[in-house]
Amino acid sequence: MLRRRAIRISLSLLGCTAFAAPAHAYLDPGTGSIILQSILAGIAVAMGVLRLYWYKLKALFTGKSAPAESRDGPDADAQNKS
Amino acid sequence: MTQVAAEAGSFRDPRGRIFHVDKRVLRTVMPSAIADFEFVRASGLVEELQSDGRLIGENQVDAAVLGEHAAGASIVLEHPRLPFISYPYEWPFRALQAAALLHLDIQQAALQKGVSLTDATAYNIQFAGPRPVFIDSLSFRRYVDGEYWAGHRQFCEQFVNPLLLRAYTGVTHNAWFRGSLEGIPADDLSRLLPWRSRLSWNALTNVHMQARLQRASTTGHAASRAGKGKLPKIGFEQMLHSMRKWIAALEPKSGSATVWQDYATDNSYADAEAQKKRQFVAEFVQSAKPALLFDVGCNTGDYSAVALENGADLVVGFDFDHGALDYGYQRAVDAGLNFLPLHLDAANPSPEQGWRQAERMGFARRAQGDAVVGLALIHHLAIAKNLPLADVLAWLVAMAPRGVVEFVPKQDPMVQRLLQLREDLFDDYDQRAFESYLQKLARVVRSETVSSSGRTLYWFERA
Repeated sequence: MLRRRAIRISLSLLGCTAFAAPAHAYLDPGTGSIILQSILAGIAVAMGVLRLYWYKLKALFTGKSAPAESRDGPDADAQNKS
Repeated sequence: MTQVAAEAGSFRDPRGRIFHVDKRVLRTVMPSAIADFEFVRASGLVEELQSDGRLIGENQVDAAVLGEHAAGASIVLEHPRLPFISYPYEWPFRALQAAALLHLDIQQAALQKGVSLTDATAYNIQFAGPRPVFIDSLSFRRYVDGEYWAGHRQFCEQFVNPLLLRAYTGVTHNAWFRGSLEGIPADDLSRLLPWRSRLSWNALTNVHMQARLQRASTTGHAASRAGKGKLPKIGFEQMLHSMRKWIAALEPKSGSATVWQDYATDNSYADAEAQKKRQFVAEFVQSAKPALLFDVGCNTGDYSAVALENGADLVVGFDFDHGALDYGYQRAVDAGLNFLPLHLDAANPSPEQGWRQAERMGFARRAQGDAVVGLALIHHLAIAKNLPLADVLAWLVAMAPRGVVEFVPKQDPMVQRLLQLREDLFDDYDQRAFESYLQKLARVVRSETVSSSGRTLYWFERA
């Protein structure tokens, strides 16, 4: 089941670069921004996969099931910025 | 016949336009916008944002009010008129930060209702006192699953990068933003930020990576490939969430205290003098009852607060010193004062600029209030900046039909400090000349000497 979810998530990661969803705006969003957003989306999905494995691993030892998905991603910024 | 004037700053989005009719502010909604307009209003978002003042109010009115200008429009809306328009290049750091957070909050609230914003321009935000208000009610449209954050680049250029400039380098955004109306490009900022900024995930991605990707993708091929991706909604939410947390934590880079920050406590004034000045301003404001009062040279807002306590509805303050402005803005937020401090270099106020030099209004066109106060100001302009005394008075008196202005004589320690390292070229800088210039412009209702050095306040009314 874990493998099937991982495959599904990986497929959706691929999907990130496969389907067209034009920006519905009069504003030019900027190529740099769009590529960056695709990368960030990819990272978010990849972190989802990693998180899934991590919880699964933890569950092996603690016997608890994985919690609901957290939205907190790589934003440990307040510490880094002075 | 009433005059209908199209707002010169409202032309980018063809789905609607702002018009002025007398003192009324009207907005056309074109057929291309009507489906989104109805969807967004049915979602309950507009009502939610208007209920706590985050979004400007609107009423549907008869299109006849715009005459031929309403031709082709599906709907005409009326918005309440804002007492004063300001621009991001006049906002202090804290105000720009508050505006950025409002934009993100609105985008987050919108996404929950299946709505998104078409852009992220800082000019869509104005201030009611120190509180930011979103003013473009046509910026909302239906969210399409998987779409990118269309305003991301603009949000970075107009909010994030100017804030980062101050947070990382201590350089204020105002002069740069004023010269570059679309904000600060990632590529420029990326070259300036210190290396350690790369240790911040958000600065690394939003500034350095974005700049690099933009540079690497100047070919049409890259652009067409980039447009083919998808940003899952969870990814969009994650970006907004992470961005909000980051921006809320930004602080101006700490350096030595700026000149004026401690001025209110550490100056050459005796308390009795300050007390006399407060009393004079209080009596003036009680008599003038201004809806909009300008405090030119407001410092941290001491006399603005006096004006508000005595019946002024709104005080817009101006000062040159960023430390004082940041302090004054925070004070307005903390004390709930209807006070907005803005950056102004009186020797070089904001010009008419943008497309056709009409898109963003100059200072003079906006600086029309009910009253003006200029305390401890004249010597900074007439002596420190070499502006002719008569011109300084004419400039100040033109801002409102009545006001209070302070004359600071040459023997005052503050003026002596300004003259310490330079030749005294200011032969006409004395009280007699000051009075004669002022009397040519206005009637002096009252005057009072408030210090032993001879500082004098004048209450004037324009003829």
